[in-house]
Amino acid sequence: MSSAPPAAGAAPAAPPPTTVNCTINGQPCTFPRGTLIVDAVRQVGRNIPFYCYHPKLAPVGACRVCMVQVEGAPVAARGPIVTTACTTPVFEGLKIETMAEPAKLARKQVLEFLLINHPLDCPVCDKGGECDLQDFTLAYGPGVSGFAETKVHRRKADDLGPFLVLDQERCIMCQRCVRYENEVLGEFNLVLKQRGDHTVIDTGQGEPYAGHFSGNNTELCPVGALTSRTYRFKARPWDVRAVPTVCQACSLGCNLNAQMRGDAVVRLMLRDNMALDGGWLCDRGRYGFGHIRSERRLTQPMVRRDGRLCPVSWEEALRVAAAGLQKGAAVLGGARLTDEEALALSELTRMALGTNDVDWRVGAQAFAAPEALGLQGAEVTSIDRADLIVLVDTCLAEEAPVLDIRLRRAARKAKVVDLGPVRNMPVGRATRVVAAVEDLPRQILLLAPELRAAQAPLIIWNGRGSQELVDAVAETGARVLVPGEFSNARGAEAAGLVPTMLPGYRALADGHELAALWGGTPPATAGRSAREILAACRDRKIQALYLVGANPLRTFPDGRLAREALDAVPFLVVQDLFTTESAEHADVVLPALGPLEKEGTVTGLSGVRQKVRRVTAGPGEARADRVILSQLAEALGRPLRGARPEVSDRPVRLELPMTSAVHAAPGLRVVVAGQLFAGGGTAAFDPNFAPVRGDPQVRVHPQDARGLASGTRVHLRGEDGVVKLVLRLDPGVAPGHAVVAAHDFGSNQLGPWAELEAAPAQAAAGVGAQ
Amino acid sequence: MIRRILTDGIGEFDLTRLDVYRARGGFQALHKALTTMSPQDVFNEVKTSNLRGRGGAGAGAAFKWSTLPEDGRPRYLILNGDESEPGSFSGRMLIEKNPHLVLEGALLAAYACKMARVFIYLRGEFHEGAQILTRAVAEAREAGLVGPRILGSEFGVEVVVHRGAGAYICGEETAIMESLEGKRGHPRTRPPFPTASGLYGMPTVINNVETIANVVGIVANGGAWFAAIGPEKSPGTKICSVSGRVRRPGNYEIQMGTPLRELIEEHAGGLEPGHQLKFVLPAGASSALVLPKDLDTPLDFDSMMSIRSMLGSAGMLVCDERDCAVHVAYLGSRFYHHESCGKCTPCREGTGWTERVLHRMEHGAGRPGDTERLQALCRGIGGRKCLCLLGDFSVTYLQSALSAFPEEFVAHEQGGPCPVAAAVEVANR
Repeated sequence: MSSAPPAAGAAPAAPPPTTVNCTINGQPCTFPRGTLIVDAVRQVGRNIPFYCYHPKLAPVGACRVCMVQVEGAPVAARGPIVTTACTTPVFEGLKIETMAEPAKLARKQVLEFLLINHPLDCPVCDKGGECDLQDFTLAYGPGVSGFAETKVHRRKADDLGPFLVLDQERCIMCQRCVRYENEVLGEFNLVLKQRGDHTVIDTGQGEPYAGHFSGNNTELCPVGALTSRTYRFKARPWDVRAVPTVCQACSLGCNLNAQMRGDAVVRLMLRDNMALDGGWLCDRGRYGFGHIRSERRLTQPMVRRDGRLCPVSWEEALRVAAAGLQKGAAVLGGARLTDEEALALSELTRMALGTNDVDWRVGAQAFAAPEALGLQGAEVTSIDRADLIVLVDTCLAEEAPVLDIRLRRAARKAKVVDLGPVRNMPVGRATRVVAAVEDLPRQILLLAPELRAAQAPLIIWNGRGSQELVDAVAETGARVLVPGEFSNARGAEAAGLVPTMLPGYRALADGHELAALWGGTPPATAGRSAREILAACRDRKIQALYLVGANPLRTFPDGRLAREALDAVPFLVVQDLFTTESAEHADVVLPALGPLEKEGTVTGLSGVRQKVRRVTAGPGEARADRVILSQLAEALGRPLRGARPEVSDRPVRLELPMTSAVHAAPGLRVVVAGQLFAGGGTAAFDPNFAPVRGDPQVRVHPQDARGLASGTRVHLRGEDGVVKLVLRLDPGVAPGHAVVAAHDFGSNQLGPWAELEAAPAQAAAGVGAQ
Repeated sequence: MIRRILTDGIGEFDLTRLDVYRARGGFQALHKALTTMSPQDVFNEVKTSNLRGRGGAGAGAAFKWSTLPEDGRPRYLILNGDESEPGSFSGRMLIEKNPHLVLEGALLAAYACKMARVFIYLRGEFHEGAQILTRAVAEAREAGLVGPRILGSEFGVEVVVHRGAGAYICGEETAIMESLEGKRGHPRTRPPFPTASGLYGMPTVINNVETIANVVGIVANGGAWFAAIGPEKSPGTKICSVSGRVRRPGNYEIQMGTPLRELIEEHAGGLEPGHQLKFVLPAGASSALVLPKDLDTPLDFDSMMSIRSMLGSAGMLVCDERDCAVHVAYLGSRFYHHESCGKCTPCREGTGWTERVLHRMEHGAGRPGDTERLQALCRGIGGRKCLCLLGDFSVTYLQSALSAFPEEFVAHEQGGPCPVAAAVEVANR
């Protein structure tokens, strides 16, 4: 079998025109050269059925249902032919007829073929009502089928992993999922197996699907073959309504539609914002709505009485909280609030509590906006344009996953340098430079000449580190993108939830500018950073601590300090969604609403502000943080004005908090890395993520394994404590390092160095359970 | 006059041995090319010879080579040895019995087209052929005929022998590239054509093993010599694989233009005594049936096209009056159902449906309307609606069987035992 290629013509003298003229159903139109017929037809507002074609994927020409009649050179020089619109570009003078009889007949035949082995279980199919096979069969298919044979049977209701359910019988082999895995992700999680009409979609070795982006397959699938387990039998498309909102699972802020059946969120779906999310969601974002109905949500205010937290009325809780906080309080948190709430917290701290002791930085991140340090910020699309990208100790796949999809695409043409103690780019091409955290500034300076020489250099950095690192980054002149450790870190920073700045990056000395808005001048003396606040709590120099959406026991890098501080502080108010470890220490617990439950705006990692919508009422008596803050301010006798200050016209540089130097010690250097489904936030309490959370892990290089195998239960013994973990051997970890998941309970309880040891025999009974 | 160009010496000498092949004049064409001819000279000789591809479509070999763009990218040559057409076994013989001829032809083609690498893709089942060819390549490499600086010249090329995993579709020229790249054997859409963007995205020529083997004689004796053999538009010889109801099945190298009757009656020894030829499938399962009335058709690309069949790979399946058209159609449909790659809908679903209908008819469970259903299936799959030609091939033989022997299909619609078999039984009683 072969076919002859067309002869290579003589080189044309003049460049061909950039547009071509053709007709679609007799209507003259002009398109850019190379436009596919399927796109051209859609652009002029005509319909055409297709399955394998998808605007986000390369054409493949497999389903053969987008048949149109074309006439004209070079594809149909000898008279009209029927061809696929998805693989044929428009040519000058081409006559395209979408409703010519031969094309209609060909489509009818293909649709008849597609249905012969399809189970027609539409009444119980989740896709029913929004299924392309139903819709196109109605519009273009035959009314009756001549098929009177036995259908091919395959696996049904097959669990492909934590989120996906596969029905191989419903599959029509458009290969969108396989191509998405290949072209977009480069992961090959789904492949074709077998041949002919026995072909099936499956994972490579039949193992569970293990990727962060499985859910997109359910929206690419034109039929009910790949569906979401969380949505299974939950609703019919005509029963749900879509509310556009923004994901708050990480600092990227992917756009999505919350689909509601009554007051219940049944699924979250793509709402393409190509400049931001590229038209994709990660599984953390897509399936992160289980917290709404989590049993561990705080549903009523509580006050500690006789050592136990007892439910009380809101009035009582606020009264007790206000009375305790008035004795001299510091505030931690705010980076999970909306912009408006962060401002309200800023105002309450300054004007009602009268202090600058406030810090959102209860994690390892030291700043949110590169501009706050005099660096040049970047847009999300800077990744597309960059020719040199340096990843500084940042694994996007875990920290802002959808951004990693963009990075993988960029890595096909741009050079990517992956710098840090852990491999940050598991998929895609990158130059790996192993560097200890302390060595990052020197390594960046080594890269500085190359970065300065690049056309569009970009540094993606998690924002952890010292002034030395900031200076090194500044030296490169590259634009900087900082994925936040908390979803609205940038909004919190802009709202002045730092001890050295007022809202709008305003100097403390310029507090008088806020006098009109806030009805008074905020305190002008610098407050204490998170570390200093916790140290002061430990030393009983602060009488009260107010945690707003913050759980330092999990997130603060120095876990021992956080523990000692919360043990020692005389009065603790915790405002959160869940009974967190920190909330268990609280004297007053204020139940708050979370993502999808409240209105406002959030600021993404590149500074873009987006509106989030309240799509559902929260549980019990939980209230939105802005309501709680406003009521608490009243209880403190200083109601909020709620104004939004402008950005200062004399912005000041952010002061980085002091970090303690790490002295060399024996053992492995403990490194905390982002891990998508580990750690705190709503994920820790979301039943949708129970299958993927797993036991906390430590990753070490095989040469540091001390003979222990992957999957073994081990102890990591640090200066500050011992943590039980499951060992993973990972050649992507630099030798001499032990990588634990950020915000995973225990990961901050070790100190900077730790020894790996086998777990004692009784604890090792569960070996191999993974 | 019988000319043996490609099969000369086969059966008499162990041509798999480099010394034997060389002793009979082997690698003199390569020596001639590398010492006295430029790549363009070699190309010109092939162009003059009017050599047409032996894989099936009969496209001009030189024409295919001429479409390679001059853009400095590395070029690849793929020898298509995925001979999977039912009834075709000529390539297999060349690979197993005359591997150095295939290799020498590949080196000449690589020289003419300035190829960076030659990939010889063998059908997965060619276990022995792969061993023989691999050994031949190793022997040739040792003798300085493969690798850098061949025969001391500036020209060098690497040769890779690759075995497929046993899929008919991998003989399709784009699927073969996917398979070589380590992917599923799925055909690609065209354009881009392989000469523009082929293996690993580089300009690639895919030639059949027999086509390439012919290059040796063309370079040795000149293109004009080749062009003078047989019909003007289909010069040269063709190795025809004859099987089925003949007395001497086997490979026969005939001059192009030899009548089909001569091939069957003289070379292959005719049919078994007392039996009459019913039809011939001249290009394996892929071609329309040739009926006795067309038996004098000359075997060349154009003459076979003129009777609406094709020469193709010349795998001649000969059937006599004992062979029910429905039975042959069922076997064909089973083959195509098994071999459909599953990428595009009409072929994937249609071949399975066709087999299920014919399976019923063949096994006594025919139903009224089955013949009509088969005709509708042929219309649904055929007519260039599929991504590659496999879909069209899967209905060509069936359509011609339906039109040549409608009464046999209609008889099978009634259910019960095969009426053709019953008639044969009566005649033998």
